[in-house]
Amino acid sequence: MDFDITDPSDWPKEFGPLREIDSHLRCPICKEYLRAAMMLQCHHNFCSECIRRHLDKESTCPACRVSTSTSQLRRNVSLEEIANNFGDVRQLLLKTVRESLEPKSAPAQTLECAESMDIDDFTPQQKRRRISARVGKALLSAQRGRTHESDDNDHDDDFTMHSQESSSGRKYSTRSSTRPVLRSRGGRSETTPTEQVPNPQSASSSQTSSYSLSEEHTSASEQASPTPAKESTFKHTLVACPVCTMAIPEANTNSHLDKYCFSGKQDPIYNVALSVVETYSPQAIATYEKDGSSKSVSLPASPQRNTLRSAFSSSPVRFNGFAQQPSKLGAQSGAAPIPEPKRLPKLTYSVLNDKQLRKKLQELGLPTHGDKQLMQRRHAEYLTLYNANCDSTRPQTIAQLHKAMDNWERTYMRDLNAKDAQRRAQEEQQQKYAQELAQQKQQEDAASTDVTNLPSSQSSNSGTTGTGFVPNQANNNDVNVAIASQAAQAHKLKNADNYNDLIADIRRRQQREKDAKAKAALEANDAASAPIQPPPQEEL
Amino acid sequence: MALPKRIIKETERLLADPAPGISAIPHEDNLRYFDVIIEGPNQSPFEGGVFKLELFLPEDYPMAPPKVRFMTKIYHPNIDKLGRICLDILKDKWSPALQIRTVLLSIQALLSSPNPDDPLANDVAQHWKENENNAIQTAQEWTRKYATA
Ligand SMILES: [Zn+2]
Ligand SMILES: [Zn+2]
Ligand SMILES: [Zn+2]
Repeated sequence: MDFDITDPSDWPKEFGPLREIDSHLRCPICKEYLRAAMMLQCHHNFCSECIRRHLDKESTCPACRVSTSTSQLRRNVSLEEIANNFGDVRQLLLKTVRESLEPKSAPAQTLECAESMDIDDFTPQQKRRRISARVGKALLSAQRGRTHESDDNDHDDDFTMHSQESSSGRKYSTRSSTRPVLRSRGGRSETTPTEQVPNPQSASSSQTSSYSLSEEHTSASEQASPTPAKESTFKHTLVACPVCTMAIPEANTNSHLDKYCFSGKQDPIYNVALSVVETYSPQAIATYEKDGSSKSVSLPASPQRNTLRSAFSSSPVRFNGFAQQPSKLGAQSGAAPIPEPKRLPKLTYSVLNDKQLRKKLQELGLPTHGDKQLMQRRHAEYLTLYNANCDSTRPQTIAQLHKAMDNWERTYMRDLNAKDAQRRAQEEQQQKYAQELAQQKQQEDAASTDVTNLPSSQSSNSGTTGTGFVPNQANNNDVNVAIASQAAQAHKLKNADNYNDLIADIRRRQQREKDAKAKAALEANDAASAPIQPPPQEEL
Repeated sequence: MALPKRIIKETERLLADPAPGISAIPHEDNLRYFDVIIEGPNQSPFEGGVFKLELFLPEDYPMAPPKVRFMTKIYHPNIDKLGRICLDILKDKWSPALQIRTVLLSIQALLSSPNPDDPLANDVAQHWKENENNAIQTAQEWTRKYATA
C-alpha cells in the first residue's frame, strides 16, 4: 500500500475540484494525506508527526512562518477523518472518474477495462510517457523497492504504458484499440477492495467461533459502572464488514458476505458495529490480538470511547477497504468532548546523566544500549512517534510503535557506519591527492623544458578574467590528476553524504580544464610556433 | 536509505510537468542529485542564456533545504564565483513546505531581479550599485560568453 505514489494531478483535469480537495487533504511537509491532522493557531494543518519533527528544529509554521510551538498544536479531527476516508475511497473513485470520461465502448472492451484496472495504481499516461525511460525506470524501482523487492528482471515492462500514440520503439499492446492500457504483472491488484477479503480456505476453519455481544452494548456508552462481563470468543482479527460495517472475524468475511450482506439480510450472529467492539477494553482486544486463537476474553461493559486511543489498545481492525468504520465517525460527533490522551513529556537531556536516561528508556521498553547521544536521539524519536500517535484517530499499537523504532535503530546504525566509512575515505583521498601532486611535481621538474610555455598561457587565462570558479593554482596536469583521483573517489562514495560536493568540485575542475584547453588551442592557432599542449593524462 | 515518497513524487512532477524555462533531471545512480537548467528570463541581462545548476537533496530533506549551485559562470550580485546563491529560502528562510520546484522558480526570479543590497559577490554588487547600466552590460556579455551553447 505504501507502494502507491499518489498525487493531486492524478485526477483528470475535467474534475478540477477533486484535484483541489486532494491537495487540501495533503500535508504540506510530506505531501501525503494528513495523518493525525494538527492545526496551528495560524490555521495551517500538518501531520502530527511531520509538524512535531519540524517544531523540534524550528518554532515557525512551515506554511506561513508565523512563530509557534508544540503547545499550540490542536487536533483537527474532522479533517483527519475526511483525509482518512478520502484516502480509503480514492482508488475506487479515481477508477470511476476515469471510466466516466471514456467513450462508451462495446461489451468486449468493457472486459478489457476490467482486466486492466491496475491502471489506478499509476499516474496518467500522459505524465508517464514524458518521463525519460531510464530515469523513469530508476524512479519506479526506487518506489518499488520500498515495499517489494524486485523479484524479476523485467520489471520495467510491468510498468510500461503501451499506447497507440506512443512514438517510442516499444512494442504496443494490441489489447485495446481505443485507449492506452497499462500492462501490469498478471492480475496484481493488491489494492483493489475485493482483494481485501480473506481467502476462502481460511473461512471454514473458524466457522464455529461464536460472537455473543448483545444489543445493549451498542448503547452502553452511558453506563458508568461495570456490569458482569460477557464471555466472548474471538477468532483471529476482527474487521469491519465492507458492506454492513459489522465486526466480523476476518476469516469469516466471505461466508458472511455470501450468506447475508450480498442478499440484503442481516447476519444474526454479527450484529455489533466494529466501532463498538473497538471501544471495549484494550486488554480484551490485546489478548486475542496476541494469540489470535479462540480464547475467552471478558469484555467489561463500560466502553469509553477514548480508551482505545489513550491506551493505543489496538487497531487490528484496519480494514483497508472503502467502508472504514463509518459508524465510528457518527459515534464521535455529538459525543462528550474527548479527553486528550496523555502524551510523553519532553526531557531536558542536558540535566540527565547516562544512568537516568537509560532508566527513562527502560521505562518505555526501549533499548538501553549506546552512548548518551544515541540514547537521547532514540528517546526523542520515540517521543515524536508516540505523541503523534496520540493525535491519531487510527492509532497504532505500542507493538507497532516499537517496530517502527526497530527500523529507526537499523537506519541510524547504517547511517552512522556510512558516515564513518565516508570520513575514512576522505582522509585516504586527501593523502592520495597529496602524494600524487608531489609525484607530478617531480615529473614536471624532470621535464620542465617542454612545458615552460604552458603556465604562462594558464596564468593569462585566469589572470585576465579573474573569475574562475576556483583559484587557479595548479597547472593542467595537476588538474587532470585531481580530476581522475577525485572521480575515482567519488565513484566509491556514490551514496555518501557529500557526494555532491565532490561532484561539484570535479565539474568545476572539468569546466576549468575545458576553458584552458580552448584557450590553449586558440593560442596554438594564433602562433603556430607555440608548443602543442600535451594530451590530458588519464591516470585511472 | 530508501528514497522518501515525497522525493519520488516531486521528481515525477518535475519531469511530467516542468516549470517554463526550467528543467531538473535526476541522476540515474543517485536520485537525490539533479542536473538543472534554467533559461535566462526575458527582459533580464541573462536573456538568451542557458544556465546549468546542480541540486542535491540532503538526507534530512525536506526538513533541511536542498543544496543548489550554479555551474555556469554568471555575473550577478547574489551569486558568487563558486556559483553559490544568496537566497533566503535556501538558508534560514527554508521551510519543509517548500519544494524543488519553488526553489528553482525563486532562483529564476532572482535572475530577473538582482538585489545588490544583499550581495554575495561584493565586487559585482558594488559594480551594480555604482553603474547599473555598465554592470548589466557585463552580465549580458558573460551570458553570451558562458551561457550560450
Ligand atoms: Zn505529513
Ligand atoms: Zn501557518
Ligand atoms: Zn456484513
